Amino acid sequence: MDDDLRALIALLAKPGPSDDTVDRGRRRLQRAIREPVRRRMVRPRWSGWLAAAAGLAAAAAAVTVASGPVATVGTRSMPGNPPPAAIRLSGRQILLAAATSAAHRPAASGTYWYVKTAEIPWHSNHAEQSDEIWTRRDGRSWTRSDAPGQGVREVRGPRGFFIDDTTITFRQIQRLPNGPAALDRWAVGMVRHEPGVPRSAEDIFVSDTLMALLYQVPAPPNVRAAAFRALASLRYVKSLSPVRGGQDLLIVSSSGVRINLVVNPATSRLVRYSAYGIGRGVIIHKDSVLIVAAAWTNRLPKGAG
Amino acid sequence: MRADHARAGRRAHDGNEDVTSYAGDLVSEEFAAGIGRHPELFTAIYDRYFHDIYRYIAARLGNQAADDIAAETFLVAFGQRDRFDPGRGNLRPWLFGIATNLAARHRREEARRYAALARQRPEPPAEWVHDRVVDAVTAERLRPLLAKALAALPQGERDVVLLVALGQLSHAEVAEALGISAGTVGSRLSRARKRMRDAIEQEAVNG
Repeated sequence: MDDDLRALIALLAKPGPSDDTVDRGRRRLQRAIREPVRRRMVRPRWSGWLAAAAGLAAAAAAVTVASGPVATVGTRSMPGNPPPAAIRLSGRQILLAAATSAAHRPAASGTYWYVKTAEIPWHSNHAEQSDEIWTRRDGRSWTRSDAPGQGVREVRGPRGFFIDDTTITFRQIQRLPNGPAALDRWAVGMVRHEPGVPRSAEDIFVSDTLMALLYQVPAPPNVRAAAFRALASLRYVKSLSPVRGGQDLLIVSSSGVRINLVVNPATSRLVRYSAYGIGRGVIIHKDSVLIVAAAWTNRLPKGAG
Repeated sequence: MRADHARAGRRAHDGNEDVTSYAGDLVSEEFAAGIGRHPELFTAIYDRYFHDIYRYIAARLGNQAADDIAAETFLVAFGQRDRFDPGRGNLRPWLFGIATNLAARHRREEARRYAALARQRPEPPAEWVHDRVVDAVTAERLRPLLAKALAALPQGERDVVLLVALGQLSHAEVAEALGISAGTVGSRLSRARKRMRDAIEQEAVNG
């Protein structure tokens, strides 16, 4: 029925692209694909499924969304399993213990802040593609991902440390507030400055920002401690079980953001975490991030550009 | 057009035999799950759809504009990949929607192109020997009329006509691409058809 139109419009047809045009476009795309490596490590991605807003919003704080994008991390025990017999700290106590450990950890130093993470997609339990990033105090950074054909290369674009998609300087990091309420206010401010974050999704981004302080940037010991305390003050904190590397915790904020994290309370090391929240009609989730390393180092790997 | 398709297929087969069929069958859910993990797979989408998008843009804006805008479509798509909702539609209408938006920014260029085409008045043929000559002449005579008629359409109707006729999208896909209802697609098409038919017939009559 539309063939008459097609025949007519065929009159407008122009020659197709030359091979050179195709190649040039492809190269442009590949450059764009390789560029923003940082984004993989940061924001809860908008993996949004439009869901029946009413029903899910109501279920926010209470229910585990069935077969949904909940990142099941390690040996997470189901609610209702009997707790292990030995002396158990509550979830909140574990976070506060981590805060104390964080405050007492001597401030280390080095040339590069090195972070290595791996992502565990929600539909699998294997870590896929890891990213490494070395950031210097002056804001220059180098990255390496284990995607095929990638070596160590300097990151082009804005300089600085990254918390999510926002850059922050070394000096700003050192001056972050070290009280939990003030830090929380700072995190809210950061998120509100980010374009395109809907109010209903703010909470998950704010908790993501607090998490970032624990490993993504070289936050001073007292700031890390304050971040743990801010997390400990959220509405619901439950210790699930000891797992390899630390304690598995579930935190639910009053707006229904669920954070699942593994932390070592003795060293204050954040081992892995995932989060998901329900905004207005949209489920936002962040894949489980495994933090392999977050420390100062004095050297870049060989072959760095 | 067929030659271009073959070339697209061959290109995509280079190196990875399965890329074309994978990208061709690339279901939206796979896309959402896969591309997030492996953004480099987006080049498979480029390989699969670049020629189609290019031809669509070229017919509207000419080859020179298409050289840039077709590639731009995929850059924009890659940048917006997180916003692509697999539950609501497929890759093809999504990409054509982006291409149409980009083309809309070059509205004046499009208008100039139609105006230039409309001004071409073909020479009368020396001999009417073969059918082919007649066909060629008919095409030559129709093109300027078509260009003028298209230029006179409202933007929304023109987009629908060209997505159906150039992009080979179904009505449902056009609705998806433009973010309008299927009913609106149908009514815009009917109105456009009528306008174009009237315009062309009128010109033909008036010579």
